[in-house]
Amino acid sequence: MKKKSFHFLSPSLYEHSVHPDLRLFDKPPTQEYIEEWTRSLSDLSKENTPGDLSVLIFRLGREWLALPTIFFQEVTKRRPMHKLPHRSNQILLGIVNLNGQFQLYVSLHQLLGIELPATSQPTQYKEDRMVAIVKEGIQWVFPVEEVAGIHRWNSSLLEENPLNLYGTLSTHLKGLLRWNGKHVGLLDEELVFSGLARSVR
Amino acid sequence: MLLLRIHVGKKGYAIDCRHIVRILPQVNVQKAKHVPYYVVGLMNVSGILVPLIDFCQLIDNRETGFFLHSRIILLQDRPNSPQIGLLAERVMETFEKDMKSMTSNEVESTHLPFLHKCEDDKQEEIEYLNVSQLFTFLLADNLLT
Repeated sequence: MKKKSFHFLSPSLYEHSVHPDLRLFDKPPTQEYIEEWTRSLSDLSKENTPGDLSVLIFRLGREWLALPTIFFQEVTKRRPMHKLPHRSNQILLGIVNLNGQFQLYVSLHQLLGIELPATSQPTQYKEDRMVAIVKEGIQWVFPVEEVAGIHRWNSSLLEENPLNLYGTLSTHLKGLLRWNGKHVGLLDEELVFSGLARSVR
Repeated sequence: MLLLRIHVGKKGYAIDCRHIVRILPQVNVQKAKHVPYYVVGLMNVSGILVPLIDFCQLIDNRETGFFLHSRIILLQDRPNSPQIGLLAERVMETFEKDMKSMTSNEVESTHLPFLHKCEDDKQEEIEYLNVSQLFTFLLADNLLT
C-alpha cells in the first residue's frame, strides 16, 4: 500500500479518538510496520497461519466432534426439557426454554449413533452444557458432555476418516482434525441439519 | 450476536463477527487492472490473492484514512468460501445486540443493498452490513467468481 500523506485529507471527515489512551491509534502506521505485516500475512507455512477453518469443539459421549463456529448461537447450562405430546421421537426430544423462547431440543447422540452416557445426572460431569446451533433461521438445541472452545485450523490439514471407522457417525464426518493429542471428527453440517429437519416431519 | 463496529468518518457500521476470519493492520497490496473503483488491490494471504475493498471509497467516494485505527477485516460468507478484505476506519471495538433488531429494517439505499439502518447497543444510529448481501453485490460487479 502506498504511503499516504494524510495531512492532505480533511480532518473534519474524521472523528478521532477521544480517550487519551486511544489517541495512539490516530497516528499513521510506519512503513516498517506495514512491510512486517505484509511479510507475515503472506507466509505460506501452514503451521504459522491461524487457519481458515474456525470450529467449536465439543464432546458427545466419548467422541470429540466439531462444527464450524458460524453455526453456533449459544452455549449454556442444561435446562429442563418439556416433551411434545405425540411429536417427540428418539432425535426430537421436546422443547426447552432458551432466553424466554421455546426451542427444539434434539439428541445429536441419537442422530449420530453415539452411545449415551451411563447416567444423565448433571453432577456426573465436569461441565454439563447444552448448545444452540442455527441455520436459515431455525434453531436446534442439544445436550453435550463437554465444550472445549473455539479453535482454528487450516482446512488443508483435514485428515480422511480412517477405514476402520464405521456406523452412522462416520457417514456424518467430513474428516478428522488433530487437537490436543486427540482426533476430532469434523461434522458435515449439511448432513447434520438435514437429519435434524427430517426428525420434525 | 457479537458485532464489530467500523466507521467511515463519523458514521458507524456493524458487521456480524461470525463472518470475520481475521482483523489486520494495513498491508501492501498488488495493484490490479480492470477492477471496480473501490478495489485497492490484491493482498497475499498465505499465498492466496484476496481482493481488498476500500469501504470508505465504496460509501463516501474517498480513500480510507491512513491511521493505525484503519484496519483490514478479512470476511467470509460461509466456511471455506472465498475471502475478501474490507478496509475501514476506527476498527477498534465490538458490541452485543440481538439479531432480530439488527436485520428487521428495510434497505436504506438501492445502490448499496447490503446496508440496513438500525440502532447499536447505545440506541445510536448505525448501519448493519449484511456480509452475504455484500458478497452478492461484489459478485454482480464481477469481482468474485
